[in-house]
Amino acid sequence: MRHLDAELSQLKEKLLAMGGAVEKSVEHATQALLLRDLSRFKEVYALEAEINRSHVEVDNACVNLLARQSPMAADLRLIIAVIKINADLERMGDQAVNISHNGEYYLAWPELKPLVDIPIMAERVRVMVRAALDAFVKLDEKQAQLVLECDDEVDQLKQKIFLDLLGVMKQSPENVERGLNLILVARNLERIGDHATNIAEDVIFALNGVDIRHRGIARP
Amino acid sequence: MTSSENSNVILEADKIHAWFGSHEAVKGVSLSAVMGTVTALIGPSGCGKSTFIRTLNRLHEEIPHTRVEGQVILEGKNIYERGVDPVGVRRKIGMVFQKPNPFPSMSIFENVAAGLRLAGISKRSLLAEVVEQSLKQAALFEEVKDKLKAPGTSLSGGQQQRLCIARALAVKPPVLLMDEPTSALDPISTAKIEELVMELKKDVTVVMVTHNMQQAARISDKTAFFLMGELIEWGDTSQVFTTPKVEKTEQYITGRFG
Repeated sequence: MRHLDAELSQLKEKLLAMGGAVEKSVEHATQALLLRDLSRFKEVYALEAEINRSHVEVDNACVNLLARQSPMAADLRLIIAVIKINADLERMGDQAVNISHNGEYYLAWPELKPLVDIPIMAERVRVMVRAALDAFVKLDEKQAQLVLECDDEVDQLKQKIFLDLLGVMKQSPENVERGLNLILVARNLERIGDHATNIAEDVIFALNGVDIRHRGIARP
Repeated sequence: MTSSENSNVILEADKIHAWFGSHEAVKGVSLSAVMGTVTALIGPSGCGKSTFIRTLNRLHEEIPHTRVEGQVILEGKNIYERGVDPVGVRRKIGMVFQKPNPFPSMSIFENVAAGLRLAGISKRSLLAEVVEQSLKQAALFEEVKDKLKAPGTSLSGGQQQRLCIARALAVKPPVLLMDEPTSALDPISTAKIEELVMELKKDVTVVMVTHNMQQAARISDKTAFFLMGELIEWGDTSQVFTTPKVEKTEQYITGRFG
């Protein structure tokens, strides 16, 4: 085994541990809101500190690998992908925090309406995040494609939630703040889905060097 | 250097000056090596790095009209102290050179056993044991185990270099100096030696001169940059190659001169 392989596998493990923390954080944030369990928001804030630490560590490890190993071809693509995935994971962690802030505000008031589409959206996003991380671990193109396919559905759900809540908000000014909080949560979830999509695209790039972002715009 | 590193220093050069006649090639270099690490010395041709490494085991003085000043402390003792036998020093601080130099008249086995025989060991079973162990350490045993009686020079260049490493390791030196050990080798043999060095550092502290900056970056823990006989910067390899502290180092490693 090359020495570089050992370092790359350590790097992957580090990123994966971070991915696990992000997955947990998103799960806690959405479940706190859906189960009206305020204690779970605390878990999100604790995880955020861990995620931020990993963010810096992974970046440092990548800088060192680039500087010291002069990686080429698949090794180079993998490190580039890790740098980008690292940024996406950190942002996903931030979105879980945003869900928590919006959720805490929402839960301070009586329920606006029974939540129907947000749980569906949260579940879809959870599946996307899991599949994106799986795709990365196994460098599995099929899993990556699965993530990409989910993205449209999540976008549509966000649109539907937005319109429904707009209707509720129009009924009474008292509904506006809570409605807005739920819209923001839907928006946060949608962003998490977008980051998962980015990760899937990076996995495909790491695997075969093909850049499929923005529907594969022709590149020089 | 951290305090734990300080307490693990095995070799310490203190204000080393080295001359060829009236030309001062090394100008007051102080540098230490921590046990179990690889230190790379880099710098442009003529910067004094090879001369410096040859002062670490008293090889510089073998050249006529040369002179050394300063101290080299190995395991707490100055190797330049009056009465110290340079041969004994070289047994503890082994060296591998740019061009593989197996003893031409000796078999593979005898090449590795040579240092032990000089040290007075003649028991066949002990020699065989140490030769096998050293060849294994040098990642060469599997390739030569069926032809130990063949001449050392019958091996390929990369194998010869690993043979020289095995020969140096046989006397179990705490420190191994390497002066551009891969510059005469092809990329595959180079990669093998590099992997080997990273393995070896568990047992022996390595100080290595290299012209290949990527090599220094890949395999060393500490990097020292030499220029015109002076030590310009010395630090953790990751720091030197990502955020060098001295402008000259930055210019050299980014290829602006040298």
